[in-house]
Amino acid sequence: MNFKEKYRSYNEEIRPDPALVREMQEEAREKAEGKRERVLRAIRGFAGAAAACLCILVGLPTLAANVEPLYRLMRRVSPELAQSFRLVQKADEKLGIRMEVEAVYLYENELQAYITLEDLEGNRIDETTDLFNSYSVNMPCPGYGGGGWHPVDFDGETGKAAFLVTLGLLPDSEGNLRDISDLAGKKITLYLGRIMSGKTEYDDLKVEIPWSEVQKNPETVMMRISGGPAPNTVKGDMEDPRPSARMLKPGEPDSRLAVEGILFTGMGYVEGMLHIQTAVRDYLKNDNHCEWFLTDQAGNRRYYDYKVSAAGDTEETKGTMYQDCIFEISPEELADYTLHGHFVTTGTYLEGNWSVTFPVEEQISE
Amino acid sequence: MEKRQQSSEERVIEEYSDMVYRLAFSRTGTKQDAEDVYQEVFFRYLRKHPAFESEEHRKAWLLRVTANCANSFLTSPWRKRRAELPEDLPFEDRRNQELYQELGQLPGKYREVIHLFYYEELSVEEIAKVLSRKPSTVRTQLTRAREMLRRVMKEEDYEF
Repeated sequence: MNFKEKYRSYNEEIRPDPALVREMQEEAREKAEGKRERVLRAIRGFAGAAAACLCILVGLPTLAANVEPLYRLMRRVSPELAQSFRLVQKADEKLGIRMEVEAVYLYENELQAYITLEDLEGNRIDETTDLFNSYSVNMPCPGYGGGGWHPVDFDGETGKAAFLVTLGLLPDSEGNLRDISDLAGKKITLYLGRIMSGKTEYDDLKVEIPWSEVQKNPETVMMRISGGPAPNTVKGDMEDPRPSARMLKPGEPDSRLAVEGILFTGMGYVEGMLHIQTAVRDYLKNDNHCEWFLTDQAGNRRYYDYKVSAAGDTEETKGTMYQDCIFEISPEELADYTLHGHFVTTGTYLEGNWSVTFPVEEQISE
Repeated sequence: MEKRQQSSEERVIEEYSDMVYRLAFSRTGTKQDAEDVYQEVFFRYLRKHPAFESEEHRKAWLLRVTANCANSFLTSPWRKRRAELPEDLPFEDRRNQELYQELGQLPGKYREVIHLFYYEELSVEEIAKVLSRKPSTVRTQLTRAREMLRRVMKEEDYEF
């Protein structure tokens, strides 16, 4: 079997979930019939869940339709599943910030929780508030991982921000999927370590640094990288399993990139590929990041081919994260493009270690 | 009982679901991300309700929007926040599972080109239009993708 046949057979196994296709067709039908546009599924993992089988219900009141505005809020994410959430409404307050676990839903091997954050002293909570992946749960059966968070709402009047947090149970040591029903009769503690807010986003910022300044033979260094894939990566060793890659040697920050919190530290050709390097200082206490792209005269974007990041490992560079965006583009082709970036920087950083404990009491089948 | 008639949009979704999802999967490499891209593509289709001269145009539009959505999705700041759940991969056949791992060693941009060339059977020029790249770039990416696959695949499998 040659590659083409093999690839064709491979693709025969790749199909969308039939529930997802049906959902999309329903959307089309309602639109064709002129009905109000349904609130669409925004959160992964909800497919098929409404036709639920086994749920664990937290031993707390059902989230009744008359509990507003939370119920309204949750309906915006999933009208079907809003009914399945159970109220918790327990809170913790630290640094003048109140974190409340409003409602939870446990399904198969996943926990979903609506939490709200409110600044009781000022306006540090805003529509850009970021949980910075610093949430976790303490469950009687250890071993969770994956999941994510999603901002659901920010009320400008009350200064309250709402989020949906999802956490999944990892398979046990033998690779068997575990069911969250093991938690019945026990307690769960939801932690939130850090938050960030005051985010500024630059969607398409043209950076006026001429291509004539691209270094043809820049100084480079081998650095232990995170992420990948990257060209010509060298595998790690027993001492340090992280792979290494050749990156630009960071230069003096160039002030022509006027984004506070992101430093432009060089651009040059390494092994025939264009590297554009940025640095973020004190990277564990902010979420400043950027993506580079090239834009041609017609406005078409050409994104980088690789991106590698490496934390500084000397006394001087400790706490700084370097990133090389790498384009497979020849110097001749560059003339057709201008340099642009998408930048995000954060302002406030708070480390409150908030936690809320609530019981899981009842298990039912639906 | 009278069977309800499908709307034209429903038929389009039915007909092109696999195509959109497969291209999204080739670019993103995960089921979950491919589902997000799939939804976004058809939401756009339903919102814009574009008119086409032919089915070929419709297909090209859907491929182009899928490629754009996958690109935007992979570079969106929101996605950066998310840790991935362990994936329940769609492959029953061990050889397909192996091929998935091998393709995973290629940059997403290359997998996309491979997919459009070997699965959708588009020409280099057609791929260039779908991906808004120059034909010479597509040609180079195709060559590099093959070279990379040769390095990672077993000898008997890489006869291109």
